[in-house]
Amino acid sequence: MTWLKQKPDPDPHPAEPFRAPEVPGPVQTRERTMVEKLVNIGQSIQIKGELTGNEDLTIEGKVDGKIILKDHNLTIGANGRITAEIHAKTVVVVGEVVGNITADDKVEVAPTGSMKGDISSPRVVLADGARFKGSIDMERKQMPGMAVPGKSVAEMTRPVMAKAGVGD
Amino acid sequence: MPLLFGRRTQEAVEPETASERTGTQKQVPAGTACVGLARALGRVLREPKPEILNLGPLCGESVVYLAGRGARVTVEDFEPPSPIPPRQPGEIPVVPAPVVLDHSDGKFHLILAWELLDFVPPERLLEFGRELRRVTRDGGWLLLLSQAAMPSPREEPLSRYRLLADDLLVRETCEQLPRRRWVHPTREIERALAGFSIQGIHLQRNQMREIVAFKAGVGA
Repeated sequence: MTWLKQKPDPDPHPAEPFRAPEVPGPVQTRERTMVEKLVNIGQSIQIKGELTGNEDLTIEGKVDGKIILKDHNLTIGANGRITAEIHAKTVVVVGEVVGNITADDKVEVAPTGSMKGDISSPRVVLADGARFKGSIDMERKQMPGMAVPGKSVAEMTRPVMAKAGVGD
Repeated sequence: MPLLFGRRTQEAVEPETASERTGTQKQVPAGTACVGLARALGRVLREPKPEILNLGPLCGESVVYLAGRGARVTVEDFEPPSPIPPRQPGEIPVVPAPVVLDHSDGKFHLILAWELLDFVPPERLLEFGRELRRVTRDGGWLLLLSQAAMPSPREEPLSRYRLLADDLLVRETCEQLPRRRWVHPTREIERALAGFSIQGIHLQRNQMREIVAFKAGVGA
């Protein structure tokens, strides 16, 4: 039974545990997502004209004109000075806004915020201490399938029926 | 749409708390009953899109409460007019800035002026009343709260009112500089509100007069 006592030769190149190859993809994606969340217009930036985009935005600088962020959130930072018409999904005013705000979801004016203009949004939060001059309209947007007050179903469907050659 | 109209009427009759609407469960202090406000709101909220003017310090919750009831609420932190300084012999008379509410004539269905009247000097009450009348539409309502018993004049900051329900208010002191506040006799207030029909003056438990006035007009 000498073969049992025989020591195995130490492997000069021990097999390393299997490691999955480093895939840089997810890390890059995470970084990119973080960058997207932190997109902002800095304090020293001034923009005149129309500002549009498809991502959330924080403004710390000055914007004069029009801001359209469809389906995205806009934050006016503490140093932000905006003189513009604003259209966005959610608008948070911590700084100063002169102009009308139309939001699909919510408008929030923080205690330090100052707003001069009209707000049109289904949800509005005005913190005590905020400075606000203007009007608030919380009327919900009419959905395409909803009945229009004052119009009967027959009136609403008449053009379709006429086109299809039904009725009339 | 009769169904919608009926629902709105029901809402106007049944007081609804702000916390019920917002879904928040926070502890709020007990409010003061305000019968006249409930009456005015009950009438005004029957309109399809009533215009309400909130004068005085902003209480966001109250504004959102009214806007959530279907009104279009305009907020203005109105600066009460300063008293006219007494003219000294030989001096050129000082012409004070006029009392102006920067809104079009007959715009509002309801004006919530809260305690603002008490911060208007007696010699400018008529001017203030005229401006309130100008911006109120025919058939519109006015709510005022005025202190009935306290030393006059005295220094006090403006207060803001938190609306808990159609007939329930909480008075909160604002962190503002104190201003001179007067107690105006009821007779002087009635004179200032010429053109309005005063519907009721209720004395509340906290010695505040709750004044509800209605601007009668053609077709109202």
